[in-house]
Amino acid sequence: MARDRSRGKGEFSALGIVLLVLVAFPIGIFGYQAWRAASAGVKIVEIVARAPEQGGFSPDRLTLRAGETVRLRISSPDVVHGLTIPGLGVNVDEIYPGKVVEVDVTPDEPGRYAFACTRWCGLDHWRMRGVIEVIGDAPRVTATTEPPLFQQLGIDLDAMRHAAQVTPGARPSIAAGAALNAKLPQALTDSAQRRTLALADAFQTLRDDPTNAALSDADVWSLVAWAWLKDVPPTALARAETLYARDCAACHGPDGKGKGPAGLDLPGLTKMDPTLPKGPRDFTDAGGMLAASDVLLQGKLLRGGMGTGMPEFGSLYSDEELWAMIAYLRTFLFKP
Amino acid sequence: MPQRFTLVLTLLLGGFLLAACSAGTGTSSRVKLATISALPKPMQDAPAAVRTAYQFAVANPDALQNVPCYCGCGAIGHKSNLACYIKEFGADGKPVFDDHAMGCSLCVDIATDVMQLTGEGKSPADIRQQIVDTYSKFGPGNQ
Repeated sequence: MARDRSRGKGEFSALGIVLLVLVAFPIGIFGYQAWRAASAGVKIVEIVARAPEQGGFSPDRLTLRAGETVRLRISSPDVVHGLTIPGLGVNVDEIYPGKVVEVDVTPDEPGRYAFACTRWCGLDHWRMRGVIEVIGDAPRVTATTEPPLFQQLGIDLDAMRHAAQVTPGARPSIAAGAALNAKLPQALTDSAQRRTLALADAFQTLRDDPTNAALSDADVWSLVAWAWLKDVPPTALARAETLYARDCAACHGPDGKGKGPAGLDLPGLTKMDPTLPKGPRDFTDAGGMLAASDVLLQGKLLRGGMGTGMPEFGSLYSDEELWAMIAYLRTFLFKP
Repeated sequence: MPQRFTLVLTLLLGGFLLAACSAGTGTSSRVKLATISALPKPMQDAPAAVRTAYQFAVANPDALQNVPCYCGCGAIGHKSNLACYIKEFGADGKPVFDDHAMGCSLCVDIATDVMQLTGEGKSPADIRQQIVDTYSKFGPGNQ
């Protein structure tokens, strides 16, 4: 009988522990969080960032209300992630496993705001994105009010393109181009016109101009380099350099040669144009890059590579960032 | 007997609490998805968003056929977002998969939106319009 009573006590204790773990503990945690939220006067939204193979952001779709402050509590159970929500001004460089990062956001205007991981958390890092839908009474904002230039000009991003027939023998220099004090035609001084031109065509135009007869081919290429980059503010290039390191280097390589480790095994490589080298674009390849206008690059960057594993950046970059990135890509061929 | 009852009650309560904790994460649970085993191995091993999009495509082909894709795949003959996932359905009704969406961010974004809107009970016409409004900035659609 005594033994039965002892067993009864044991079961009672076990039950107590189970109750503690399953009921009191969760209630305590959620009660604490609710108390914190109420005391702070903000709504708390938990976001768990996992490697994309394990689910990516959870949730990856959020609905917030314009004017309402929300505290994002972001955590990671696996590796270091980052978070950017460009439209809401949120940038979290590091979300370490086991740590919680809190960010308060108060979206002003209804609209669709993309977010993305900013740390190379695995081969499928480029898949780690989400969307915040902000609702409210005001009209929705859109990132652009008119179609991007490549659409306005009807440029087919996927049309077969030949490499430039003329390429520089050495790396053209922007400073050398500036030092020539040459007069550029309007097509190269007007940014809207310049962006539509392939650089190899611009070279040919300058080469054929009798006023440049005394210049060597290398000089004319330096003129092209100067024409393309003379109006780009250093701050824009610096911003693009940061974005390139964050978003592009893992596939295209820090040196722009298309040999980044994450680009070696992209799922879409087999779909790429068989006449082109397999893999991410080599930005130091003069034949390919000098045949491409800025507008074409804008489209590719904005939309991504169709089925090739190149993600779209139109929902993450502003117009200024897109053009700055294109200018930065030119610097892989042109030296200062 | 009362102890066993208490234990069962506790487990039920705990289970309810855990379920409540996980509610609200992920995409809508009101949409029909094919089982993971219905997918080829590469799609089974794909990132969760891609895998789910393929599961949705198998179970809801009409929903994806209803919307255009904006990734540029019209150039390779795709007529809707569905074509990025499924080439055709065989005579036995089984899907012939296309791995295009495995390397495409826009294709999966579009299907994820359709899945969410379907879960919210939106009409096919409304879903289509919302997809057009959201994605036409990326280029010409394929419908």
